[in-house]
Amino acid sequence: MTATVAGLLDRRHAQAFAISNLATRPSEDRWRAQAVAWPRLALSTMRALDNVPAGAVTDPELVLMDSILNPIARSEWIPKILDTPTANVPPDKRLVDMTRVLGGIADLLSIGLKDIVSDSTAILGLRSNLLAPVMVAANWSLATAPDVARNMTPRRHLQLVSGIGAAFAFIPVGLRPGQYDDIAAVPNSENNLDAAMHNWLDATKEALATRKGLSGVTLQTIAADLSVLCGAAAATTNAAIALGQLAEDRGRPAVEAISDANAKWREASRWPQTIYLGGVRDTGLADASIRLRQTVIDTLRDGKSWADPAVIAARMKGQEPASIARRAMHIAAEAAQLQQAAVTNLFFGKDRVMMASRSLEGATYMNKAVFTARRRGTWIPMPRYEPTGVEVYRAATCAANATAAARILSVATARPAVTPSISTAVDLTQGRIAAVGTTTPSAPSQRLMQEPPFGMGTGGPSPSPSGPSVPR
Amino acid sequence: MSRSTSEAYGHLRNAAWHYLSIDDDGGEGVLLGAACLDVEDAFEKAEVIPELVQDEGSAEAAIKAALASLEDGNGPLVPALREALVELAGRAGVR
Repeated sequence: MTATVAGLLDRRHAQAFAISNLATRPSEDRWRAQAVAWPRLALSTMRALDNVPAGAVTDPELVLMDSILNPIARSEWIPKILDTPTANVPPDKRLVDMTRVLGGIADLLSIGLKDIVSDSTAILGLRSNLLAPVMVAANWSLATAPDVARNMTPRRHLQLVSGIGAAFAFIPVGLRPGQYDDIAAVPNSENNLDAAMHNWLDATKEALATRKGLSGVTLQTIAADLSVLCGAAAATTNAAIALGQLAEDRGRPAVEAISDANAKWREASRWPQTIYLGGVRDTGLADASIRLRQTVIDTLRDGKSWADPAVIAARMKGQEPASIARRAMHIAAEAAQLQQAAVTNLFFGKDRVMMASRSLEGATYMNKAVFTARRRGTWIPMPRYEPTGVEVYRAATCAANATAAARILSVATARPAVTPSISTAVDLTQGRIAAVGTTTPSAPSQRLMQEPPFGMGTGGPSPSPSGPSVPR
Repeated sequence: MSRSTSEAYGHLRNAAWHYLSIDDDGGEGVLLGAACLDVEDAFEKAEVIPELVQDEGSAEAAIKAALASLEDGNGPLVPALREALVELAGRAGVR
């Protein structure tokens, strides 16, 4: 089963919600069982937070969270005498489960997204999703810990955890989705689009890194497969729009950009008949390519066209089409860069590509060997900067650039529809610091506050005449 | 390998070009083009070097021409190449 950050977050929030609904009362045994689990939970939280790709070099939020969680992770938050559970009280299972899921999220986040620049919205959303359940766990442990003098220090630490968690839990859920939710660990043996795409990327990397020399069929196959991948991404994004999972105004530009990349890879995959680079394909690439195309046909196609969105969703067995589309574009962009570099090396490096001698024009390259080859109609090494070769290089470069652009638009569909405005600016009002946007109470509310008991009863004092303001 | 297998490979390359030139987002062209590349790989494994041949004007006509060229072919790998081409023709709906 494919594990995604989004899937693990779903599980973790469900665990936290279950905890929040438990009837809790102070219990020394239960508190000890929880206290034993907390260092690992704090450590996992820190690891996950550290693996959230940072937007800036200095990150005061991360420093603050580390300073709160570190003493717990190092077991410095609790007197040593309490640090061992009683014989019959094992570490709390719920907190242990939470820790495991959080560890999984931290592992996935360590994979990261290559060449993607983090924005503050994505970081804030992910941190909120990581810390809100920790707040629930802290509140639960606080409610369990007997309010006695020896628990004072651990309780204070948990209050800090609860406080920082609460600050993030206030971020509305609608502002939390982000591109990092799509990071996935894909089992290669599975029979689904994710596995086929990941296998293909691994095989492509290996084929392009070969020291045996690339063949024309290899490069053409990779370009054609990139077109297939872009086609699959466009089809799944379209399905997400049709199923109402993605707003039309956000999804349509991504579909157009992906379709453009698709067309450009088709162009890059067709080499003119006059160019030839012999050699066989890497066996791994051949197998992965055939599997990718077959999986696309099985999952996304119906005869000679793309399947109905509802059919696509049903075949995906619960996986979000938009999420698959973004993963397809991440893979396509990574392979596109490698392919473009390989084509550049090939056409501007050694004279390995052959061209039909009869298609060579211009007196510059004419010599006895070329004349003989032309008479026999055989292949000759292609001169560097020969227009046909430059054209193949140009097509691959355009396609790689279009794929990078399409990936950016595709990734943007994972962002919240509204960007939160986080302002750190302050005003000095009547000699007091106030956050920008804090308004003076309106006239009706001022009147209400002047009427004891806040408008209850009939009438009330008449509004006081507005006189000149009194200087401080 | 004989000249006829080289000609067949040349026609197959033309067929791939035609399929990969189909300008649609339906994806059928690129899938058939990639299938042509699979068969090209079989020709490469048989160490056939393609020959420049006259473009037949369409992918279907190029596949027919490739099959026709292989009729005259001889060599131990020709039956396997013919089988791969026949399978491609069937998938592409070439009669």
